Amino acid sequence: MNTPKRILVPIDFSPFSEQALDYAMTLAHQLEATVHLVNVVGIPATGAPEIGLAFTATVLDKVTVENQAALDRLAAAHRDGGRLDKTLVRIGDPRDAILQAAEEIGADLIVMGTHGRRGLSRALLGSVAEMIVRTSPVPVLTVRGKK
Amino acid sequence: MKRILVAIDGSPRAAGVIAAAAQLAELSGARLVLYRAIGLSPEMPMELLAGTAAEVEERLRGAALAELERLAAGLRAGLVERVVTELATAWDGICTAARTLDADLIAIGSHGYGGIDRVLGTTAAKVANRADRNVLIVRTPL
Repeated sequence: MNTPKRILVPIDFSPFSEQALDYAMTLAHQLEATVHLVNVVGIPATGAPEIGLAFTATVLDKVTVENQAALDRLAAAHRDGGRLDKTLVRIGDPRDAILQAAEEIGADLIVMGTHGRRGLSRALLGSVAEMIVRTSPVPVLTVRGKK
Repeated sequence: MKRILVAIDGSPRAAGVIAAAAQLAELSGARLVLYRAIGLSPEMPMELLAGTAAEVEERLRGAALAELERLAAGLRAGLVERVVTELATAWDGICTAARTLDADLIAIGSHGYGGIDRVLGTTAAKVANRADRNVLIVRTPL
């Protein structure tokens, strides 16, 4: 592993992803790296007919604009120090979209929060983080969420 | 960051994980604990498994410790705080040791620990899922 220069942080606006962002910012200062944010708007998994798709597209556009604004606000709060770079909003399957964003910006490290679920919910919910861990071509640093 | 637990699986892939952890430790002022869980695997040569259970354990432990000491010797003096080996299921041993030794971060390769891990990377995924601390998963070639 070469010293990471571009760190990607997936953001779902949960406290866990914001803890991961804080960690990534600290790491970026130590590594002299830049931090990039990606938010993924999940496509609802419904086999909708055309009218449903049109409706979904409108909703997705609205959500995308809103999430981009929220992501930019989050980024603005971390701009000091000049480490924070791009903010991306993508639509699609979270795992694919995160890995695509990583490739697009040339990320060499993904820092992401994990929810720290316990018991049954953890067993049932196979997290996005776990899928990223299994398939990412670049190193992944999972940040354990604190409640 | 003070302490990084580096999970080693005794394969040549371990070198990439150690290199990544060492780099991070140098940049953040942390020290390393090299950890290896030992267990029986159907891939082990028969001569390793000869003798009583105690003899087998002693032999595996000795080999694992020698391997960890050798890896530690390849790093800057003082970077490795200690080497630890124990009989354990890899993911469980790693998570427990990280807690007991109060490591800030676990560094682990995406594939390793034999068998099905070469396909699914189950140990790394389990550690990321279950450890109560941060985990760096370094992509290691199959």
